[in-house]
Amino acid sequence: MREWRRRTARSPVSSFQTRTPRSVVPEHEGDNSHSTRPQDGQPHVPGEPGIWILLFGDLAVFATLFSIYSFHRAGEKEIFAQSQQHLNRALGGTNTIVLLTSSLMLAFAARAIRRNELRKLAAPLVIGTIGLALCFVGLKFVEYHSLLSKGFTPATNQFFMYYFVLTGLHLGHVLIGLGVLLALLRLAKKPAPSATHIAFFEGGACFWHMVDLLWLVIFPLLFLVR
Amino acid sequence: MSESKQRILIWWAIITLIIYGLSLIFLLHMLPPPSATWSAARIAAFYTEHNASIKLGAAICSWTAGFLVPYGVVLGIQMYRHEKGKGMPVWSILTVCGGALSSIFLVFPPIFFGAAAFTPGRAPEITAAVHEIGVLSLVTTDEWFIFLWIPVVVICLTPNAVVHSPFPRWFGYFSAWATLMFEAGAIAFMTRTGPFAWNGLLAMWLPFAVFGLWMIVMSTMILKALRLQSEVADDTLTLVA
Repeated sequence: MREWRRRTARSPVSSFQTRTPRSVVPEHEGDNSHSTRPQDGQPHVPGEPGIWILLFGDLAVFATLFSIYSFHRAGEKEIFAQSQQHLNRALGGTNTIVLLTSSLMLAFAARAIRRNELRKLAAPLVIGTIGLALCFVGLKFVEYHSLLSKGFTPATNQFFMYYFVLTGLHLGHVLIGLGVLLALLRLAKKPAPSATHIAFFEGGACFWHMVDLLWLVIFPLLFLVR
Repeated sequence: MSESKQRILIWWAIITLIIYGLSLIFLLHMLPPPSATWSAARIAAFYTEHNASIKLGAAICSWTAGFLVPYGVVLGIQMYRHEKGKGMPVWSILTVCGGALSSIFLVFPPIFFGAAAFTPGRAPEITAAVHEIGVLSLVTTDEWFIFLWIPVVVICLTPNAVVHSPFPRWFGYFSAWATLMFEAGAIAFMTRTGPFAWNGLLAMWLPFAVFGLWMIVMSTMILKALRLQSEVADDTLTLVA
């Protein structure tokens, strides 16, 4: 019971090595993977140390962008407020729910891949996440199409420049995230993922959660804040 | 052993990169580029004022713009140590191509700046047009560096047991971040002011800063790895077990 609890709590690696030695590909000597190997009670940082360079770096740049947007908005409140009315809040809100659900699904997949008895659920859950991501992309194109057909382009005014660029950069991250999800799907189908595979899965999932987090700031900032 | 040859290529690349950068900043006055809101007359005046230094800068950049060619070759060779014995070394080849192709977009802007300065008395609109082509080709073509960097990301993140490699896992994530940071460059087509203009924080400053940082880190790691590799007596020790 103690080992089972250890596995669910924090340490996928040590439980694989002690309980199910045959289902794990052993790490090579000199393997340059830096996946964390937590002991009992030690905090488990998801993914590998390196992924956080990527995530925090990206978040820092987006944070800068949000500050610049807010600064420019303060200077032109009228134009920004008026232009904001043309955005489709229903579509934006739906997309928020779509992304949140996809993140939840991926979090379940990350849990499933760590446990032998649940691992077969990991691939369907990742496929579900991919499906929701594609929904997001589809809805985004509907949104862009409706704006562009009404004559609003990035050149219309500052607000629309920021709108298209911020949501466009975010969409770029979603598309890259789709690539990451496809890689995670490959990992999810492996019957015996190594500790490095699992760390990479967690890291990839963290990237997707970051994409979700970015939208959770972009949506209110662009669509709601007046 | 090819380590000493690789070291020569790396230093060749670093020295020419530094000369190219200094020329871009101090002779061509294009790092940072002047504001995208300038009128044609203002641009023509700029090229008249700095005529001699721009033409000299164009000449020096012409000599030194190719630094990513030898650099890409060394990257490819170092990557090949990871891909040996696994079929065609796809990522190594891609990175060599990436180094060669990225050089195009480093050599073209100085050519355009030199051409803009070449005939001082011509109509300002023509000079302005050539100037715009030059700056836009400098700032918006960051995308091509992807072919140099994505192979680095893949090689770093593929689990392996290659010793004395300049490609640790964390560097894969760092390179992935660098690649993402480069994406905003092309947005410079769409606005003349703000963070996405060709002299803006996100379209220009960030990509150039990230590029410099990446080159410093990668070069340090490659030189260190080359030193360790040359200390190993037998080449076969570097193969995966």
